[in-house]
This record gives sequence, C-alpha cells and structure tokens, in this order.
Amino acid sequence: MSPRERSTWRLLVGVQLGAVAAVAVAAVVVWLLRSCAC
Amino acid sequence: MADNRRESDGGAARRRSVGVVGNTRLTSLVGTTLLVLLVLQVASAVVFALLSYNVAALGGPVYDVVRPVHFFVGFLLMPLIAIKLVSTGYRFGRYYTRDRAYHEAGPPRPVPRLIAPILIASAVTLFASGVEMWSFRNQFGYAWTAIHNTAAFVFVVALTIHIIVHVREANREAAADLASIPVTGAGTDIAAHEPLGGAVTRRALLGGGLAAGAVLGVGASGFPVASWNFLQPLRPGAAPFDFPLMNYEGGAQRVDVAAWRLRIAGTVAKPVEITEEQLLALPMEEHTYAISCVDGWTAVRTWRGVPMTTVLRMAGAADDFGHVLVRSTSGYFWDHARSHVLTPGTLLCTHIDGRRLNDDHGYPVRLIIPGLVGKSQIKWVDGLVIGRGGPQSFIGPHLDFKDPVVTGHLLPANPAGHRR
Repeated sequence: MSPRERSTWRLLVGVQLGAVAAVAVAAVVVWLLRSCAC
Repeated sequence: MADNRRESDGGAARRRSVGVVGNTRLTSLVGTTLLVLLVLQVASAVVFALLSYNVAALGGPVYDVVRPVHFFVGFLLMPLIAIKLVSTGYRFGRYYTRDRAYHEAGPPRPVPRLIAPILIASAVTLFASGVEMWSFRNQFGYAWTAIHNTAAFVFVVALTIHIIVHVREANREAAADLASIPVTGAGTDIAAHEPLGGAVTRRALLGGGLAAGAVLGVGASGFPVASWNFLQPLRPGAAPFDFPLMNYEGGAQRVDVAAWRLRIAGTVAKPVEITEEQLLALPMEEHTYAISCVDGWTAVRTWRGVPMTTVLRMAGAADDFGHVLVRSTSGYFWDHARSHVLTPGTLLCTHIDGRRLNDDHGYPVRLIIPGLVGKSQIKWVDGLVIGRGGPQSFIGPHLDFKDPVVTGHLLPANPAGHRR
C-alpha cells in the first residue's frame, strides 16, 4: 500500500469509526436526556 | 460487495482483468459510503420508532429532528443502493454466463454468498415498504409498519455479517481507487493495487448517486427546510384548522350526530351512551400543546374538551383498568395504555382554538393526548372499550366493528368536509 493509499485508507476508516462513535455518543446523550426527563 | 481476493501464491498475486478490478472498486467505493450512511440510518430508525409511540419520551425537539432525518437519509441511500445492486448484479451475471475474466476471479466466499440473497431481499422489502408508508400513509392497510420493522431487523443482521466479512477489503480497494491517478491505456491484466482507468467514472457514479439521493431526500423529507418538501407537499387543513390532514383513519368522516353516540363499555360498572348534547354539557378543560405527526409536521393548538377521566368516572371504569381502546367511526382504533389516557391534559376534544371541530378534524369528537404521535389521536370517536391488562394491539381496523355497541351513523360522503 502506497503512502497515498494508506492516508486515504485512514481517512475512510476514520470517517466510518467517527460515524459509529457519533451514534454511540448520541445514544448516550439521548439516554441521559430521557433519564433527566423522567 | 464483490469479493476481490488477492491470494498470495508463493508471492505471486492473482492477476485479474481491468473489468473485474474496476467492478470491485466501484462496489467498494459505494459500499464504504453506504456503511457510514447506514450507521446513521439505523440510529435514526431506532429513535424514530421509539418516539413514534411516545413523542415525549425523550423530551425536547428530538422527534422533530429525527423524523425528517430518517426520511432524508432513507431516500439519500436509494440511488447508492441501486448502483451497488447493479454493480454486484453485473458481476453475478457475468460470472454465471461464464465470462472468462469473472469466472477466473471466482465467486464470493461461502458466507457472503449465502447471505447475499437475504440481504438483497430484506433491503428491497425495507425500502419498498418505507416508500409505501411515506407515499400512501396506510391507505392500503396497516401491515406495512410490521413489514418494514421485520425487514429492518433481518436487514441489520445480514448487513452486520456482510460488513464484518467485507469491510477490510472494501476499505483497501476504495482507498486504492481514491488514491490512484487514473491511467489510460492500461494493459488487459492488472494487479488490484495498481492505478486503474475508469476512476473518474466511478467517482462520478458515486458523486452522482449522492447528489441524486440528496435531491430525492430533500424533496421527500423537507430536510433541512420544510418547504422544500416538493415530492409530497403536506395537504393543508381546511380553514380555520390550518394543520395538515392525514389519511390514517380512512379519510374524513361525516357523522350524523342525531344517530351518533359516544359509547363507553368494557370493564365498567355501567355501560354509558352519551349524545353530542350531553357531551357538550359536561365540564370542559382547555390546554395548549403540540400534536406531532410521523409524516413530518408539528402544530401547537389550544384543545378544549371533556377530560378523559370524567367519562371514565361516569361509566365507573374499574380501578385497575389497564387500557382503553379508542374507536373511530372510520373503522380505525388505537388501544391506549392506562398511562396514556391518564396523562394530564388528555381530552375528548370538541374544539380547537375555540372553534368547533369540522368533519376533516374529527367532528363531533376526537381524542387528544399530550405527547403522543398524531396517528394514535383518534378522530370521529364513537367508542371507548375499557379493559384490564395491557393494550391488545396498538393500531388496526376494528376487530369488533360488528359489535352491537357500534352502529352506523354516517352521512353520505362530503368531500368538502365543512360542516359548520
């Protein structure tokens, strides 16, 4: 894998992990909001 | 996602044709993009489904945000999924028509090969049922929600396996394609990591799919600007009730109030029948709060009517009642849990913003419960059936519409929908 491919690969994987992480954080926030609302 | 094995065989990489590698790279480019969007869509689906049974479960404007996002991402996904189906279908077709290059490249590995039909069938069912609900709003029955939810469950399971099997290779191929400088006049054989002609075409397909999906998504959802909902503008309500009309209840009813009675039966001390005149003479309350619809709108109105607790007391509802099935003259019901109907502000509503209901909005009486989604707020109410235990079902046509307590009392259809 060339350096350019590697950096592109990192970007791709970063975006995917970022999406998963964002959803996980959102789920925690929603759960906290719900706890507070109750 | 097409399999693109590069088997090391004593250090010699398997060599495949430009076409096979290009196909794999297009599949990988679209697949890696879909992965991100599908993660978002699954998350929005979970929250959307939760709130569709109780808008207020999370508080704040969460429902108003997640609802258009779910529609937007759903439509955004469609062109990309179509491209991926064409790309993998092309490989499938070439392999089984014994095209030399595709046959030499080999089939997918056993697990993804077995999963593929389930994944495709569940995806097609999922999107078709989603579009049906978005487009027709239960005009063709109430089974679509169950079909959509079941397909979603199967899809997520199959998709998870699909991702686990393919993600590393897809990322590698997509990165190779995005990092490459397109080379024209490449040889007939090429190793998968080499620059490959057609990269611009593949990027154009990906970009075009995203752009087409974005246009579809905005038009279908009104996200981020509600008025951009050009594919399905909401039908405004007849004046003076300027909030949209939905078809969840079979279209506007025209109730003959001389024959109409509100009947309260089930686990009660004494079944009760109430005429319109008697209903309007009962003590009323007025509350201002929002009604939200799964279709994408929220309206704050002032609701006046008889508190649900008043009519439950009149009939002598059992202290331990667990649910109240609220029926409509349209043949539609919603079985509400005790906690719903005892929510403060729950009304058998007769007036909105100080004006008597009209036919479109549920004349002579409609249910309104703070925080619940609009499709559970039954219009043209003609019966409350009280029972012990939990709700039997949330939604559907009358199971007991021929029950003697429900009689016909409808006037001929009046498309104008204005009574007074």
